[in-house]
Amino acid sequence: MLWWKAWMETRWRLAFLVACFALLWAEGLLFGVPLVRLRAAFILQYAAIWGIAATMLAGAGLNSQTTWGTSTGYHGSMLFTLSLPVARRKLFAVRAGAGAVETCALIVITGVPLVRFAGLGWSAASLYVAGACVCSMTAYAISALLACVTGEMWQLYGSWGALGALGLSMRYAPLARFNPLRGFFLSAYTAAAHFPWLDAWIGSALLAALCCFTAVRILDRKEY
Amino acid sequence: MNDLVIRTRGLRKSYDGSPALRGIDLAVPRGSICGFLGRNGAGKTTTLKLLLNLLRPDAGEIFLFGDPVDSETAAVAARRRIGFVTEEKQLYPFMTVGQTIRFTRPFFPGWRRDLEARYLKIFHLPESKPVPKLSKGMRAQLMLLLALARGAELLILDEPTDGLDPAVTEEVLQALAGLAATEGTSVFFSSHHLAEVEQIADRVCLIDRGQIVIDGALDDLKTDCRRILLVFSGDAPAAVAALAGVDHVRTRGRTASLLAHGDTDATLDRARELQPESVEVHPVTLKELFLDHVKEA
Repeated sequence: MLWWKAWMETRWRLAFLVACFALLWAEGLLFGVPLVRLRAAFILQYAAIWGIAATMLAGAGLNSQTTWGTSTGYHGSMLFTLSLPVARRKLFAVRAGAGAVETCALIVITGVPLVRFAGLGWSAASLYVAGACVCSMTAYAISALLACVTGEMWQLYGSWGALGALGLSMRYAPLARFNPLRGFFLSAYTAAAHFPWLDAWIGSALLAALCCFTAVRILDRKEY
Repeated sequence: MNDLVIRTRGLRKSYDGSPALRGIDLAVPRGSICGFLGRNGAGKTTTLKLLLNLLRPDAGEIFLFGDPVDSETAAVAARRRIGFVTEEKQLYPFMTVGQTIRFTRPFFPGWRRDLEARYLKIFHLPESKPVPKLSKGMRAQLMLLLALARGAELLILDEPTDGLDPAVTEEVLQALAGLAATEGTSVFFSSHHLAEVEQIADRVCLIDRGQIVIDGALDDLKTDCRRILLVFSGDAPAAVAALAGVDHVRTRGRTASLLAHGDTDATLDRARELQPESVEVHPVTLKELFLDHVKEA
């Protein structure tokens, strides 16, 4: 039932994000934007929306539990959730797991047409989308971590700020190769004709694991 | 200890260095209905949250159903046997009444469909109505239904009748009394409504400034305590405050009002030695006990 609750909680966010991608496609197709510009714009917009999507789908959760909109404080229903005979770690795992599955589903559904449109073959497209899923987990885990300590509004602002900081840190060459955001950049493939993202995948997985571990430790100690 | 559903020893809790609980010792027997009284900020909600492991004590021990609640695993096991109504009475805004019930049901193997149907009918809760569209009273009713129908051995209720109209309040009180009588369910509930506590509780626990100041069976408290009114020819002497067996004294001009406990006849004899013009003895109400203890200081 916790999975069902997580779905009920996030379904309108997911619908909103799907609508955003539909609008992007409609914009390109209806207004006849030149193909080259369209591809570039798509790639950038998709990468940005995937990051934002991850932070939004990690939203709600133990503290706020609202379906939609932002709230500064905590929703009182979290006390009801915490009074159920379920361990906090399980509550977190189910909520985070459901959002992560939705995030990956969103990336797969919207990413495959994108990379096919950009002219990649099926195997390259699969690899790109898988990499984007792995890298989106960093954004997701940062947001899930913040959801354990702040209200919903600051969770989103904080996540977007962290993503911005990650973007800026790409200018710092020694760490750029591990930057999770690299996994979103399809242009890297077209420039190098291969996927130079293994380091980014490792960096992303490590950062996401660290965020999740910290979130669990916080939840174990947190008082409500 | 197994006859106690709730037992705490030396429970302490502070918020930012400010003490909220200063060594709480609670003992709630199985099958009893215990009213938990206190002013706003006295520490009632903190105590209830500690029992449910939503807060962690700074010091002290908690035992539920005779078992120590000293880990998350123990707390989860205890919560399986507990029905809880929060003070805020907030439920998921993205569910309807029916969905909320269907969501809660599987967590409790002893869920009582008969009670679910009964309280849905009594509270007139429409299953298809979204939770955000419920009035505060209806939300409280839904929370009560979720607590009562789970077949819990212990109900921990934070202001359960807050926001309910008198008719529904009566239904709820009857339901609680009925569950205790027929199922042996123990009830530990906080309330500001002394009349409600007096109506259904067999035990009372009064907390003030983080300390338990009254704890006992309601009948014993009423039998044990007496109000003694003394009227003197001049100002009431200071010696009345020093009389043995007197809990609280209030003096105003010629009159002194004493709250005595224990052997009140002996206290009365000692009071008469102060040569008052008149002496009256009255039984005490819960309200008097409450006010006498919390109005001090």
